[in-house]
Amino acid sequence: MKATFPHMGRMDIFIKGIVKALGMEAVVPPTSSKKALNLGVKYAPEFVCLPFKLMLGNLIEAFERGADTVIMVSDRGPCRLGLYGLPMQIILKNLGYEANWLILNTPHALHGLFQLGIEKEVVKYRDKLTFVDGLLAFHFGWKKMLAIEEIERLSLKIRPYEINKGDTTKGLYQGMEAIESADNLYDLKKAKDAVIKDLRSIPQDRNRRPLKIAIAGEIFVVLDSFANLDIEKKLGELGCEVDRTIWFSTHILHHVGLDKFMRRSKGKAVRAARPYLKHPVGAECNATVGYAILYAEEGYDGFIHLMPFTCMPEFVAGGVLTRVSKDYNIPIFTVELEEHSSQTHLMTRLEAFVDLLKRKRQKRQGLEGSRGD
Amino acid sequence: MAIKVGIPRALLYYRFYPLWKTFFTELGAEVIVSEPTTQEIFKKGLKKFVGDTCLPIKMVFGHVITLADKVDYLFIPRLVSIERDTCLCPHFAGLPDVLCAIMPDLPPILDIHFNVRKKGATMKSIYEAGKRFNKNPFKVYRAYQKAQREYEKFLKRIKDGITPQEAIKIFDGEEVSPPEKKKGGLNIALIGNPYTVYDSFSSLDIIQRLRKLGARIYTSEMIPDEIIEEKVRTLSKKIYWSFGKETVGSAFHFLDSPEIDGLIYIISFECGPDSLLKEIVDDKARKNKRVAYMSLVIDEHTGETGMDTRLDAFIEMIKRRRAKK
Ligand code: SF4
Ligand code: SF4
Repeated sequence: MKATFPHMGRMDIFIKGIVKALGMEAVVPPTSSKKALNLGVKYAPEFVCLPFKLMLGNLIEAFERGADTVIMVSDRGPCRLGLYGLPMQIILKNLGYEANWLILNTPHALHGLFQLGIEKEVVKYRDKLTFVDGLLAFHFGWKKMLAIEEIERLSLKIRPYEINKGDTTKGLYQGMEAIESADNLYDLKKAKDAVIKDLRSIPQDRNRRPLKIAIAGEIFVVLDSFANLDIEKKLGELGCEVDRTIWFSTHILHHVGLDKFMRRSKGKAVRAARPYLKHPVGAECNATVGYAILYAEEGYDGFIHLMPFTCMPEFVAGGVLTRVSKDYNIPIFTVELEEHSSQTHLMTRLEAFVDLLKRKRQKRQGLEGSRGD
Repeated sequence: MAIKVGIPRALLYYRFYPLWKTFFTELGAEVIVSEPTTQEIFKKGLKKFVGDTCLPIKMVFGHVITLADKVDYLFIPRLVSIERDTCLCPHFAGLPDVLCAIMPDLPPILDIHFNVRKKGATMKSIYEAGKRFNKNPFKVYRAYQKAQREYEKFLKRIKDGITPQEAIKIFDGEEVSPPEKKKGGLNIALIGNPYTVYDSFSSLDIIQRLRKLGARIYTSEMIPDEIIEEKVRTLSKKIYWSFGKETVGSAFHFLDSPEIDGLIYIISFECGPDSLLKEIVDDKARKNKRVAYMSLVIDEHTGETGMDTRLDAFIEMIKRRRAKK
């Protein structure tokens, strides 16, 4: 059995760990690219949301490489994710790819894992494995994931200060590779420490005062740099310090209820949104609105809202955010993402947004200055 | 003077209007419904929202704006789910909040969580809805019972073979002459979200067009719930959207019904649920050699000529299939 799964950001690092832990062979689809996207667009329903198209593209590429089992997460609505599986099965079958589908009927990580663990197909392949082996490999996958996220976070902090444009991104990519190739906890720690040291030693101009921008929205496009056209990198190179509201690890922790004590947990965001949204809408909608409020209160300069074209929950969020933007005096920029989204077009609009934030900050500082006289 | 409650002629109006209207009228309110959608009403709502969305949601903005200065309350129920086990698409849970956020000057919105199809409507939510008009819980409950009876009559009329639009006309006291049954006429089933299919602006009045071409119309409302349940059970995953389930269940039923000659799936471009369900219905229809099938994806730019051409071609296809038999 060769198991595959669609990409979402760097989730592959974690899932690969689990799949191996269960004694299966993993076929990781090639990193999302124009090719995967085009395949997805060609075979997916025309106006389905971007995540579907990319995931379908990933799966087709994985089948071309011999995968025969698909692992997919699902839920019970109200959005589309829970029903991705059925049409995907139909489309792939019509393309001649018969596969075995392991659909995890819950986004709850531990339940999912348990369900996967008792699947007949998996059990067959697992006889040589002990429970402890599984647990260790799971732990290792998780640690790797955290290491990747740690260096990503660091890169967001360093990029706005870098003197030579592109240094941070280069360092980050090299660092990701180094971490990915680590085979045990010891190598992993060594690799991570080395990457952190390298990133810190990038030449920086610490006199800059970068604008602070938070990014939120639909989870797939927030996590996936291909889907969001590398928006974090673009903003960083425009001199902004970016904070991402959702990470793969925080998403999992939220689902097992362990994020409660974090400074900005999803639960806190959802509560913050209550005056504006009286009912859970679905997916990240309520959290998106709440994050805008939390970050505005922390004094962030701007907020970027990412939504796939035709995304239902984020359409609701976008509408409500127009009000939040006024009430909390924070500029909010909603970016709709689809297969035709162009890098240059996005760049122009980001430049305009950053200019607006700069002017706003100058005006505010001007006011504070005159008050001080 | 009676309190005026405005109901937009959009979305679930096409499914629940008789219930809502009876309820509010019984409580002494005056119900005002916005005019049928026109290009003008539609345009009023544009530019109000951020991002792009389906035609029905775009239309509701226009309806709300035209009602705004005529009424004391707007009735935009937060219909999270209309039966147990299924829900509506996320737009419905957020709509009242979006309208409030974007247009803070609107009259107060009655955004009561109604839950009607099964016995699920709780006394509490009914009282919540009615207490602004009458403080007496007993009176509110009686008004609701009356509303429920009217609603059941309305549903029964539809099951007997007329369209929801016509059943609403009858409820409003208008004369409706039942479509004549022609011998050898074509039987065509229409599926899709009710507010897309029955709003004559969005569907370009497809029902009248088909009737002019000599067709008799069948809709998913005519299919008993049990049959729909039974049909969707054949799928490996439960369809958790109420209208989605109705659409797929009745599509499967119509494809199996000997009297049906053609099946048309009307979809609003950018509709989230339908983007996925279309794949399921298409697949089943492709394997069916007897019933002619087409899906019509519509948006505000769909033109009458384009629609007529496609309908003509569709009717031709049915006739050819018949001749072969
Ligand atoms: S949340 Fe948005 S992107 Fe995700 S499944 Fe729903 S519509 Fe698609
Ligand atoms: S079900 Fe489709 S048409 Fe209806 S509101 Fe949702 S997206 Fe729009």
